[in-house]
Amino acid sequence: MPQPSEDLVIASADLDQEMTLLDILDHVLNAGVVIRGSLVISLAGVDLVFLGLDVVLTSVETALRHMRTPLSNVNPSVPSSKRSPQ
Amino acid sequence: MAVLAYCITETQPEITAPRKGVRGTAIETIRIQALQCFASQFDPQDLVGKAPIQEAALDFNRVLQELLQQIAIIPVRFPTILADETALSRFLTEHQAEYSEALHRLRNCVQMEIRLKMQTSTQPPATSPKSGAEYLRGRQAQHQHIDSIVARFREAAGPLAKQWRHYETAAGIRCFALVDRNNVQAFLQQMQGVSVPTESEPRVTGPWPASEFLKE
Amino acid sequence: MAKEAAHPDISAVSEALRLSDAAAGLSGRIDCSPETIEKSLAKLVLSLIELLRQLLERQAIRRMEGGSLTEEQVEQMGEALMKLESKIAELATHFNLTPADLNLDLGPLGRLVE
Repeated sequence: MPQPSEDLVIASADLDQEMTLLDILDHVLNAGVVIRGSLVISLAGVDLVFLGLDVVLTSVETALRHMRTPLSNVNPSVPSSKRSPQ
Repeated sequence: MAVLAYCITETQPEITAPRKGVRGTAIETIRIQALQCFASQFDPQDLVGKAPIQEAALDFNRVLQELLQQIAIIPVRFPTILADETALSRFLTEHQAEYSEALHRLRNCVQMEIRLKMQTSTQPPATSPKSGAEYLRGRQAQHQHIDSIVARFREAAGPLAKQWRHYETAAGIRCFALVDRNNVQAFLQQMQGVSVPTESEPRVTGPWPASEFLKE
Repeated sequence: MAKEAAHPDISAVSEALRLSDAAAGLSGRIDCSPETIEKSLAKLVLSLIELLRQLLERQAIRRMEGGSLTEEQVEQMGEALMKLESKIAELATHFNLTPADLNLDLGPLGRLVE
């Protein structure tokens, strides 16, 4: 039977040990499928607009100030179906 | 009304949805043939600010884990909020074939992860290289050193890892093993036997949804 | 309960925002001090070059292992990469950037596949 390594940290739901906030955030924020046309509102206190996979994330304020295209669909109550599909 | 999407699963076998979603919302399912997507009606304004977001993320993870205990899931990235259920149905229909195939292939599987705080870029040469060839061979040795540590974990997993992936990120090496859901304990036991340099700070987590193995 | 910590992805996004703001500042649309812009851009550029260096290094090692390089080519490749590494370090020091500063997390784009 191999000697258990003292250096190894195991954080597993099965062992009832806590996953750290970092583990969880890393997975929910990064792993998982992305749905185009969805609206991501804010992250870490900064309002973000996720316009699609090809577009750089920018703050809402910056986007509103500097982008020519009116971002009327930044308002979450406006349906995002106005966006062109895919 | 806007909806927050959690994950996609097959409709068989029948599973129990968690009673509460993020911020105490009810969880509903949107079905397209043999697939279903779990979602909650959600006001995006509820996510403004750092504290609500982190709270919601933990809650979101709880929902995913409760479902993962019952069935294979394809998680949706957090936070994903769509205009309405129709948008979600449309998305599901578009990806139906792809997700059905993946969920069928990943039935009874979960993903285990190993993180190592090692980076090829920060491995300095053992001695000052005197030539270009010596430099490159020194760098090769550093790469091989890291590869050999990864290999220890992979070997320890043995047949318990049906599939394996690893890559280097800014934060270090990440390894992913696709494991049968009934083998999680056995896998963890095998990982405990691996000896590694202390500074690599190995960390094993899981089970997670098999997001690294969605594509064949 | 889980520990509160600055999540790297949140930091990375904040970082990207700062950098994009700095870049926008160049066009004169946002007020930004020249020093901030310069350092932010230096960091972005050097980080990308460092990423490139890592990719090139892997490529070179792969080719060396595959036997498709002559001894002379190995020497030339190694020397070029050595110089590149040295130059990056020199520039980083000039801009007061640490090696950690050059460790840009590009998510899927930055994955160095083994």
